[in-house]
Amino acid sequence: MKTIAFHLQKGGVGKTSLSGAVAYELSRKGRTILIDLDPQGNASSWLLTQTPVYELASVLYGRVGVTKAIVPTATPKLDILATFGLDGELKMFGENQLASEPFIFCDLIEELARAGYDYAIMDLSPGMGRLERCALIAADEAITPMTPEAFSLDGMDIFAAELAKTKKAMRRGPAHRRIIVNAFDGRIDQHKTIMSQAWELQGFEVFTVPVDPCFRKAQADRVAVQSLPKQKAAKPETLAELRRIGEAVCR
Amino acid sequence: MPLRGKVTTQDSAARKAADTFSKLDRDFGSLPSTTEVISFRVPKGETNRLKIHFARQGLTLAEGIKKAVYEAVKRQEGQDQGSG
Ligand SMILES: Nc1ncnc2c1ncn2[C@@H]1O[C@H](COP(=O)(O)OP(=O)(O)OP(=O)(O)O)[C@@H](O)[C@H]1O
Ligand SMILES: [Mg+2]
Repeated sequence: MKTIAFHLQKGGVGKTSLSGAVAYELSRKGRTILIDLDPQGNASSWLLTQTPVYELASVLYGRVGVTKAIVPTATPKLDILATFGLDGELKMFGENQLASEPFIFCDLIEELARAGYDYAIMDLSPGMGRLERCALIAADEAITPMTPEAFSLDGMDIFAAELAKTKKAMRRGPAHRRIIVNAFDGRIDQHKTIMSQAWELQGFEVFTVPVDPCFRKAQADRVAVQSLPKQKAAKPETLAELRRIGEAVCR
Repeated sequence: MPLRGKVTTQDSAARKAADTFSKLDRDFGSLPSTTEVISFRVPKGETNRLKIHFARQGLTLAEGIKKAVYEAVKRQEGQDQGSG
């Protein structure tokens, strides 16, 4: 099984939108699980129409086996380990319990592999606390979505520094070699300036997802971006780039 | 008194990007400080077709070609790494 975390400390750069969209792409290739690791529970409220009985934290607290907490989405072969945004316990687990069990997500990933999943996608919260670090060390790869603006670049600096520190302290950690420049608008000069430098980045594969209202629409309608009806459909460039990301991740 | 060395937002965005990306790049060698130009010929009329194509993504001809080339090369490099 391959595990990919979407993370950047900066908020609102598209971690949830892209992890959901890439999870959809991967579900065409194999059994995929989206792990909602953000106490806000955005991915869950996007892709689930009903609140499930159990959430990820129920599994972490040992109240229920992982297979019992998994919920299917409307997309075939795409399941979710949910987090309740309201009254969810993930935040509490991170604050009270995780320090004594820093490798719990590594164990979770192993169980998901045994359950037959081919891909696991983690949607992390903005921030870089214990919850994010413990999740990151369980991933094979971290993909950093960023918007083409100065604060996102700051976020990238923090991410790279924190990842290096975490790898040193925990003796393991994900590869970081893919960046997604999200909500790219070619009419904005600053976007192009930043993009043009990102393309040259050695050792990194850089993807560009255009600014596209399809994400907002898909989230409002609680469907995957790729399954929006024709009149609300995503831009062809958006769909092509999402597919390209999915294919790259599978390599 | 005019501020000396004041930069436009555009300059500072470019500099910030260069700084962040060169830090990311450290493991792979730093960004080049000097550059060179690539040019090639196409049949008459093609330039316009390409221009229109890239303009749809908000890119100039040069930007579009640069993006396409880097994407292709990196995809190939990624495949080489994956199989090697
Ligand atoms: N390419 C895009 N074009 C236009 N809007 C986008 C794009 N990607 C995401 N959005 C919108 O931007 C907002 C933030 O996106 P999202 O929630 O995915 O970011 P996030 O990084 O997960 O945020 P958080 O840090 O709060 O977890 C959402 O309203 C989403 O619909
Ligand atoms: Mg999010």
